[in-house]
Amino acid sequence: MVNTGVKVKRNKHVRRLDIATARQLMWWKFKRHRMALLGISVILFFLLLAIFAEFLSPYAPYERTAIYTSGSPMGLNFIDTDRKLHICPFVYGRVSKRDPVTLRLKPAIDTSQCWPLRFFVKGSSYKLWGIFKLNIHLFGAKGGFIHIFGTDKLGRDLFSRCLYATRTSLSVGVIGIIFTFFIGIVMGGIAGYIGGMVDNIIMRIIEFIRSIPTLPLWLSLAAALPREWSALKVYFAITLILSLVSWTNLARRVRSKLLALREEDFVISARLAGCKTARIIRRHLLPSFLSYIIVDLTISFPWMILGETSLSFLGLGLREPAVSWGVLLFSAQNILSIVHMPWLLIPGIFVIVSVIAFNFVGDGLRDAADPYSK
Amino acid sequence: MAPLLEIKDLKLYYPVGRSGLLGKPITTVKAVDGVSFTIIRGESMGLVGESGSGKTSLGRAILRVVEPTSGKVLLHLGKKIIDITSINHDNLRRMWKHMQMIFQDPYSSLNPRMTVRDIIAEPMVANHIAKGSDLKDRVVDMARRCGLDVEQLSRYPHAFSGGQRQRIGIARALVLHPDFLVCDEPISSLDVSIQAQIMNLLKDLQQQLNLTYLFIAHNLSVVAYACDRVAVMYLGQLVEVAPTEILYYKPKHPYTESLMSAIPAPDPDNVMEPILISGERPNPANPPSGCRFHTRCQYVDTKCETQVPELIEYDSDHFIACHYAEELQLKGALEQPAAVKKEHT
Repeated sequence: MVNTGVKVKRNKHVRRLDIATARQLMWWKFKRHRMALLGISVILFFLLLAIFAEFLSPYAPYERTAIYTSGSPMGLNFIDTDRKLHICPFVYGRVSKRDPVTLRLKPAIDTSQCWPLRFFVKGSSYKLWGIFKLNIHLFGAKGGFIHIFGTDKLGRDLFSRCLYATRTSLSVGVIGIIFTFFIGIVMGGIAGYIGGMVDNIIMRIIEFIRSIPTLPLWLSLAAALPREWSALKVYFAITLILSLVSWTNLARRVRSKLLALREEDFVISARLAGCKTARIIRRHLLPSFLSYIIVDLTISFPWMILGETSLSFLGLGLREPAVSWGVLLFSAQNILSIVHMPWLLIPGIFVIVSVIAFNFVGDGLRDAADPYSK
Repeated sequence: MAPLLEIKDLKLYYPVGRSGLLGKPITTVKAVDGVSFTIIRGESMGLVGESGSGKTSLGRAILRVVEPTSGKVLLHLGKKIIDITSINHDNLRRMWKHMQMIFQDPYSSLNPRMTVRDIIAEPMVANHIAKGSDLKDRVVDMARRCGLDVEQLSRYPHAFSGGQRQRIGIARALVLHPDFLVCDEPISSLDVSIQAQIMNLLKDLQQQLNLTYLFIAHNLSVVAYACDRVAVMYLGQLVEVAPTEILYYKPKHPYTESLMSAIPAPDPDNVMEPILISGERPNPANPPSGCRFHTRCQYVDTKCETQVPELIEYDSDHFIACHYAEELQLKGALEQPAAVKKEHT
C-alpha cells in the first residue's frame, strides 16, 4: 500500500520532459545532486550573513570591549550552577583576574553573574546598506557583553568581524568574477570569432600569463600598489589583480566553444536563414554555451576567494581597517596566538566551508549542464 | 529545359598546415577541383561518390556557405542571371531565400535552445518577411505540409526522433519557398523505414512547391529512386553525368561501373560479384597525374597516366571524363555474368 501511495504522489507532478526547456532540464538534473543543493543553501546562508551583517552582528567591527581582550568564546548555557533551568539561554559574566604565575590580567568566568541572551536589543547605531539608520541588533546580552567567537587582542568581537569579513570576501569574489567574465568573454570572443592573426596574438598572451606561477605574480602586482591608497582603492585593485590573472581560462573556453559552434550545422542553417552576424551570436551561439560559462565561473569562484585570502594572509592584500577572512587570519599567523587564542582560526572555517560549498555547486552545475549525463 | 543553376569550373581548396607561426599554407586539399555542370529547373540532380570525394563541399560551395576558391555559379531567376560567387554578402543573404539546404545530421542542424516554432519561423523573422499572426499561420502551414504535428510546435528539438527532426529541418528550409534545395545526404542517418517516408515527403514537396533538388547521397538505390539525372564524383571532379537510367544500366566510365556493380539485387539467390577496385583512394592534397582514377582503374593505359580527360558530352546529355569512353564495353547495375546465374538455378 505504501508503494502505491508514493506512485500516486509522483504522478501528480509529472515532468513533461518532451516540452521542457533546456533550463528546466538543467534544474531537474541539478536538484538530484544532493551535495550541490546543500552547497547552494550554504552559499545562500553566507549571502544572508553578508547582506545583513550589521543587523546580525551584536557589535560594530571596531567596537572594543576593553575588559575582555583576547577573550575566549563565551558559551551559551541553559542550566546555571544552582541547577536552575533558564528558558532563555544566558552567558556567565566575565571579570579580569591577575594570573598568579605570569601576573598578567586574564579574563575569567564569574559564575555568580548571569547575563541572559536578549533578542532585538539596542546597540551601536549603524546604517544598513548605507540607507536605513538603525540601532537594533539581532541579539545581545543583558547587563554585560556577549562574544560567542571570543575577541581578538584589542577586544573586538570576532563573530561580528567574521560577518563583516564574509561580506568583503564574498564581494571580492563576485566583483572579481564579473571582471573575469567581462575580460574573458570579450578576449575569447574576439579570438574565436575574428580568428587568424588576432587569435594567434591573444592566445600567445594567454599562454604567457598562464606560464607565470600565480602566487609570485599576485605578490608582485599587489606589492606594486601604493601604500598610501585607501582601503577601498586597495580592495578594488586586489579584485582587479585577481581577475587579470584568472580571465585566461575563461577566454580559452569561450574561444574553443565559438570555434566549435561556428562550424555546427545549425549555425550554417542560421546563416542560410538570412541571420546577420549579431543575430547569430545572440540567438544561436551565446545561448548554447552560456551554461558552460556559468559553470566555469562557479568553479573559479573559490579561487577568487582563496586568492584574496592568501594575499591578505601574507599581508599584501587587504589591510586593516578593511575586514576580510584573510585579514582576520593574518592575526592568527604566529604560533603564540594559535596556542593562546585558537579561536582566531574560526574565520578559516568560513573559508573552508564556502570553498567546499562552491565546489559542490560547481560540480552539480557541471553535471546538470552536461547533455550526456543521465 | 530552362537551366536554374550553371556551375562553371568551380574550385574549392582547403589550406592545410602552416609553415611557422604566420606562414603560408603548406599545401591545399582540392576538395572540389574544376567542376562544371548545369541543373535544370524542376529536376532532381543526384550527386554520388565515395566518402571524401567532395560531394558535401561541392554542395556547400554552390550555395557559397563555404567560400569557393574560384569558378562561377550562375542562378537563373526569371530573366535575371545572378552570379552567386561575385555578389556582396548582403545580396548573398537575400539570394539564400532562393537557395536552401537540408543537412545530413538532424541532431546538429537544429538549435537545441529554440522551440520548433521558432526554428521554422527563423528565416521569416531574420528576413523581415512576416510578423504576428501571418508568421504563425505560415509556420503552421509549412509544418503541416512536412507532416509535423501542429500541437507539438512549442516543444524543443530534443523531444523529437530523427525522422521528425529531419521534417523540422525540411520545414525550415522550405518556409521561404526557395527554388533550389541542396539535400546533403538527408536520409543517411535515419532508419530504413523512416528513410522511405522522408524520400516520399521530399518527392511530394517537390511537386507541390516546384522545387529543384541537388540530391547528395552515397546510397545508389535511393538516388535511382529519387533523381532524374545523376553526377558521379571522384576525388573532387565529375567523372560522369547522365540521366539516371542510362548511368545505371549503360555506364561509360570505369568508376561508375564499379559503383554500379556494388548495388545489391533484391534476390536471395543472387551472388554478388562487385568489381573491386584495388588500392586506397589517393590523397586529395596530392592527386594523381593524368586521369585521377588511373591508379585504380582496371582498363588503365599509358595515356591515362599523363593526359587529363575532359568531361565531354558523348551522347546527348551523357557526359563522360574518360579517354576510352567509346571503346569500353561496361556492365551496368544488376547485370550478372551468365555462368553464375546458371550455377544457382
